[in-house]
Amino acid sequence: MPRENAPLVEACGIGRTFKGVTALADVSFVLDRGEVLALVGSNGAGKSTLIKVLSGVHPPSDGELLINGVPVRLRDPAEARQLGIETLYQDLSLIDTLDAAGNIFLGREPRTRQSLNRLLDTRAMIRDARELLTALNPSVPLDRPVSVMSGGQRQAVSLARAVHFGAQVVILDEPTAALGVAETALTLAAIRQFRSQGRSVILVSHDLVDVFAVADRILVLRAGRVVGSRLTHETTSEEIVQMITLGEVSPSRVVEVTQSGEGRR
Amino acid sequence: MTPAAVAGAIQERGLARRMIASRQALLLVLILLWCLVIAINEPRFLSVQNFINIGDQAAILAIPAAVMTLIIICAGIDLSVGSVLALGGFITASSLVAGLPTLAAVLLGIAAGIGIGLLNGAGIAYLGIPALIMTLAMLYAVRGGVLFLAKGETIASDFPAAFRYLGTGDLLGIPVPVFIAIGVFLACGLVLRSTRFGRYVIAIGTNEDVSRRAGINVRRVKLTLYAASGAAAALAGIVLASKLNAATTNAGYGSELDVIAAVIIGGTSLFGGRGTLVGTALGVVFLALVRNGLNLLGVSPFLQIFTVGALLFVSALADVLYSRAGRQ
Ligand SMILES: Nc1ncnc2c1ncn2[C@@H]1O[C@H](COP(=O)(O)OP(=O)(O)O)[C@@H](O)[C@H]1O
Ligand SMILES: [Mg+2]
Repeated sequence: MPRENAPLVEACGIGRTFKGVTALADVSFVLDRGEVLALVGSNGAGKSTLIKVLSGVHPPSDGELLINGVPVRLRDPAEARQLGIETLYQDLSLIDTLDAAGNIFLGREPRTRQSLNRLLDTRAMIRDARELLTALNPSVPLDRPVSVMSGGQRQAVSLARAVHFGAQVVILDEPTAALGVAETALTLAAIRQFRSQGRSVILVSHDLVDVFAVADRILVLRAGRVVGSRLTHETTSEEIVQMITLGEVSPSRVVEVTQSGEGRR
Repeated sequence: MTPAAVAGAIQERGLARRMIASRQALLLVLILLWCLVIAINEPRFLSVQNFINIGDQAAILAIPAAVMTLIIICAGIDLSVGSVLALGGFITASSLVAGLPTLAAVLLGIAAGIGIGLLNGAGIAYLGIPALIMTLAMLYAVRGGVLFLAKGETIASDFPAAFRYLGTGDLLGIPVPVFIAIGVFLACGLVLRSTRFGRYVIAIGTNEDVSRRAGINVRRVKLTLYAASGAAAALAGIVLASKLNAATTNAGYGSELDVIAAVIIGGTSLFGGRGTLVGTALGVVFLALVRNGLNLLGVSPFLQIFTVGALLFVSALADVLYSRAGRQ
């Protein structure tokens, strides 16, 4: 039974090792409905591994994952998707030779109801694709293969796909890394739009400007462990940078570290 | 929608289609030029009878070529079609000799083709054997099997009229095999353009991992495709046996290469994910016209084979250049 006001996603002591190498250890966090959670950390901190645990790619070696308060075992990405967790990897989830609608509906194409052999309802596909895309990025051409689209347009197609699948949690891995200024703005707008629709977003990003622009909360990982979590409006990028590079630092410790000169290592 | 958006949409549509259509248009121009050259040099070329002959010959290749188009779009290949063609003819002819009614004999021949196709599909989709090797093995195994079962002999008999109609009949002067080929093309075209299955063929041929992650049952799509290919090859063999009034053990020998050549010349991408049945139809017709024209001009059959090789090279080169341009 789903608990009444349980958080959408709850991770309790998640650990993951690869042949003895610890990629994640004792990671716990909570994601609420309509919350944008940023996941930050330096290279090798375990961000991608955590995402893969959440999207069913890697089962955790330790700990428990709860969705709506119910413990779940995600054995593959399809199970995660069924539970409303949609993950967008950079440029890895589109079929280049299909157009926007073909990609948005891939695997679940609408079919005409009346005919015996159930042909594709291309009219409905185009119509719904247009509707989904105008909200995300109106510049996406509807009748060209996605191979000719810009990074931002491709991303809009992926996002539209997540929306169409009714994703409750949208996980974005470095969504703005390859985008220009205008396209980054569209992606950030899409994230805000998701939040206003009551969807939750987990955003992995190296760009603290983007993170501070959209995230409600920031979770810092370091060497596979959670260093700490901060509400965006209660922290500064200086503090986050320090957490990323030095680990958890209490205000007093910051002073100590700086005074002893350890911080400049 | 604003007028500007409409204009934009129309323009986008034009651009997208032009890229693909241009190769088909080019092929069509080549076909017409070729016809012109031959017609000037050899008036017999333009006779109705000659065109009927061309259609008749092209039809046998066209039937397996339609399904081969889907297979190559799905980044696969089926080398066994020539052997399965012989198998289909053999099974149907021997069933007729055994006294089965025409319909049952034809269905049995097609069922044999589907059986081989399922084996191909199972080896490729479930055992992970590369399509090239799996269907090459089947090319040998099936040809050997037919030779063994037929003891190397041709099956000729007084076949029933209903059976003879498949290969020798005509409707409004057009040979029945041409109608069968057109039917197979229309069916494959409908599947490719207008069904989920067709989408999945394109998706798998473009990127199998992404397709699987999107929840597509990749194995089932492949299994179905190779089964369909077996069915089409067997059907071609049945039509051929009907035409020749005999099932020979070397029927369709080497025809898998002609079938693949027609598909590639028709612009279907060797890299998977792109291709059209219109292109393949043009490819089949072009190959038949080239053979017929060179024959009429009295060009050596050896040079005819050379010509097909040259055409194939140019098509493959065009595909490579096109793919490179598309990837930028
Ligand atoms: N499939 C894997 N096999 C072995 N080690 C892995 C694998 N995936 C990640 N790791 C290790 O886990 C650690 C965390 O990696 P990752 O999650 O990719 O970090 P991030 O995405 O934050 O850069 C690294 O030390 C990495 O080498
Ligand atoms: Mg990473």
